[in-house]
Amino acid sequence: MSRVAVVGWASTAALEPDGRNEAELLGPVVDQALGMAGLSGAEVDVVCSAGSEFLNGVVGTVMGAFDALPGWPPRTHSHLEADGAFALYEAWIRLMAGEGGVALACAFGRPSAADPAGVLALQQDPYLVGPLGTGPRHLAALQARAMIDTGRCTERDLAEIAAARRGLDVAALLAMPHVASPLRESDCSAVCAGAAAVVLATEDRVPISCERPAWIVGIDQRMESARIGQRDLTVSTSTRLAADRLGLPGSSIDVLEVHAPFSHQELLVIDALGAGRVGSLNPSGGVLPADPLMASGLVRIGAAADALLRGGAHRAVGHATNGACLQHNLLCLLEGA
Amino acid sequence: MSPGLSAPHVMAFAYRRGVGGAESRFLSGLRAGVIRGTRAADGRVLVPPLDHDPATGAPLGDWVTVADLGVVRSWTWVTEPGRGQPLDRPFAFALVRLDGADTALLHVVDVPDEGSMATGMRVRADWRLERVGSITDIRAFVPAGSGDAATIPPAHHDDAGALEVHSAHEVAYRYEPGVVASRFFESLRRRRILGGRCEPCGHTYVPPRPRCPVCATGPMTEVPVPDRGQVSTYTVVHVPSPEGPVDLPYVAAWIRLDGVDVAFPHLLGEVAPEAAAVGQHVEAVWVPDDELAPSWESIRYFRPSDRPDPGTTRQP
Repeated sequence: MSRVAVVGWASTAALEPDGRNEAELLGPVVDQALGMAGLSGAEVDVVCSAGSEFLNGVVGTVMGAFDALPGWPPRTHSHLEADGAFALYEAWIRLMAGEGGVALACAFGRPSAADPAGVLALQQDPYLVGPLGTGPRHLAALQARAMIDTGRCTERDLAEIAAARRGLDVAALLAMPHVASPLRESDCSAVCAGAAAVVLATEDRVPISCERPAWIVGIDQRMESARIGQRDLTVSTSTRLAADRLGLPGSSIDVLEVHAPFSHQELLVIDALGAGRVGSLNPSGGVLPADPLMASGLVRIGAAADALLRGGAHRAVGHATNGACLQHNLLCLLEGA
Repeated sequence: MSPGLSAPHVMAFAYRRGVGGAESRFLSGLRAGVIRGTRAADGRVLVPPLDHDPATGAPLGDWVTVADLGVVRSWTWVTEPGRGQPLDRPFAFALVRLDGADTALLHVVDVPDEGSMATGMRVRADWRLERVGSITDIRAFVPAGSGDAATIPPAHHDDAGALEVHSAHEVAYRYEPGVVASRFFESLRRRRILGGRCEPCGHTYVPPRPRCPVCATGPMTEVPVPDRGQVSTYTVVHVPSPEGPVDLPYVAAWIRLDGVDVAFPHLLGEVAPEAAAVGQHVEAVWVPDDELAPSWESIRYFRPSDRPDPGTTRQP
C-alpha cells in the first residue's frame, strides 16, 4: 500500500454571485490545482467529486459540472452529495487500494442561487423535526446556548472569534442584534458559491517538480446521532474519537484549519482535538468570512496542505464537518517529508 | 450587474411518508395525548424513542410514558417566523427534557417575548384538541404554572395503525444557467444560434459548453452556426407532454445543425409523422418578433428544407 500525498490544490476566492455556473467555477480551479502539481488532466486516474443539485435546484447540474473534469477516455469517477472533504477521503482510499496513482478530489456548490437555509432544512428528520421548520442557524444556536449555559464560553468569546476571522471589531459585533440568539450574523458563516480541487498522488507518481509533498498520515471520520436532543452538544465526541485515532491529543500541530460554520464550533473542535500546541489556527481565514457549501471542508484540507507544500510547516490538520451541530466530523493529518 | 441570465424557479418536494418503528408508536402516542419513550440498555429513557440502543445497537422494546411537563435545556429565539414553522408570531425553538426522560425533545415554546425565555424554565405541552399523529399535535410548549401537574388525557386511537406524515416543502431558487449558456439564450432572442468550438479537439457544440466534455479545455471559441441542419433521429409522440403546447401526435427530433458535431432535441413541424426521416434536411421556424425570448422556444420548430446548403452539410 503506497503512501499518498497532496501535490496540488486550488479554490475559488470568496465571490459575489457573478453568473458563473458550476462548470465555470470548477474549470479554472482544476486547471490551477493540476498546474500546481505539474500534472496534466490525462494523468488523472481517479476522480472523486462532490456537489449537490438541491443547492441550486437544477437537475443536471452535477453532470454539467463534470465538463470541467478530465473526461475522455472514461476513468474511475464517483460523486458524493457531501462536502468535498469526504470525496478526498474516498480518493485517498482508492489510491491506497491501488486503483491508480493520481487522483483529483473536487467540489462545487452554488447555494447563492437559492435560500440555503431552506435547502438545508430538507436534511432534517421529516417525522419529528421537519414539521417544526428548524434551519441550520436555529440548531446551531441551541448548541451555542448550551455551551454558554455550561460556562464553556460567553457571547463575547464568540464575538472575538468572529472578529478575528472577519477582521472586525469585537465591540461593534456585540452591538449587532441576534439572528438566532445567542448567535449574531457575524457568528454564522457567509454562505457563497465556490469550488475547490485537491490533487493526490502515490509515492511513485509524485512529480519531481513537487519538492515538498504533503503526505497524508491518516484520515479518520466519525458520525454522531442526528437527534440533537440525544447528544451532549457541548462536546464534539466524534471529533474526539477521530483525533484519538490519529494520535492528536497532546501533540504539536503547526497549522490547523477548522471547518466551523458557526463561531462556537471552532471552540468545540479545538477542545476535541486536545492538541498540545497549535502553531497557526485557520491561516486561510476560516469558514466564517467565506463558506462555499460542498467545497468548504475540502478547502480546509487544501489550505492545511498548502502550509506544507509551500514550506515552513511540518505537521498540519484539516477538519471538515457535515450535518447539524457538528454531527459528522473528519480529520486529515498531513506531514512534510 | 451579473453577466448571466437569472429567473425565479420554485422546486416543490411533496412527500407522503409512511411512519414505522419507534416513530410510529411515538406519534400515535401523541395522537392519544401521551408522550412515550424507550428505555436504553443503560437505563436512560430516550424521548423521542429509538428502536435500537444508541450505544450497543440492541433492540429496545421497554416503553415508558413520561410527563408532558419538563425543563428547557437550551433555546433560541425566532424573531421572524417563516413558512413551514408552526407559529405565526415570534417564538422559541427549545430542547425540552420531559420529566421522566433523559434526553431532550426538540419543539417550540410559545411565550410573548424573548425575555420570557430562560434555560431551566419549566414548561408543559399545550395539546391540540384535534390530533392526527404528528409532532405538532403538541401545539407548543408553554410556561408551566407552579401548580401544574402532568396532564394525561384519556387515551383514544392508541394504536400504531398506519400513520402518514405529509410534507410539502417548497424551495425558491434563482435559475442562473451560467455565463456561456446565458450568451447562447440571449442570442436566440436575436434569431442567432451560437455554438462553441473546442480548439484542441476541433469539435463544435450546440448549445455551447463552458468546457469541452472530451478534453476539459475551456473556454471554447464562440462561433455562429446556421439555423439549418439534419435530423439525427426522431420519435413520434402520442402522449401529451406536461408542457402541453403541441397537438398530438407530434415529432420530437434530435437536430444536428450544419457544421456542428452534436445534436440537440427540438420539434419537427410541417411534416406528417409518417414522412419524418433520419437525415432529412431541416430549417428553423422562428417565432414572430414579439414572441422572441432568451429561450429555445424562440424557435417554434424545425421544418423540412428542400434547399440544403451544399457548402456546409455533412452526412449524418
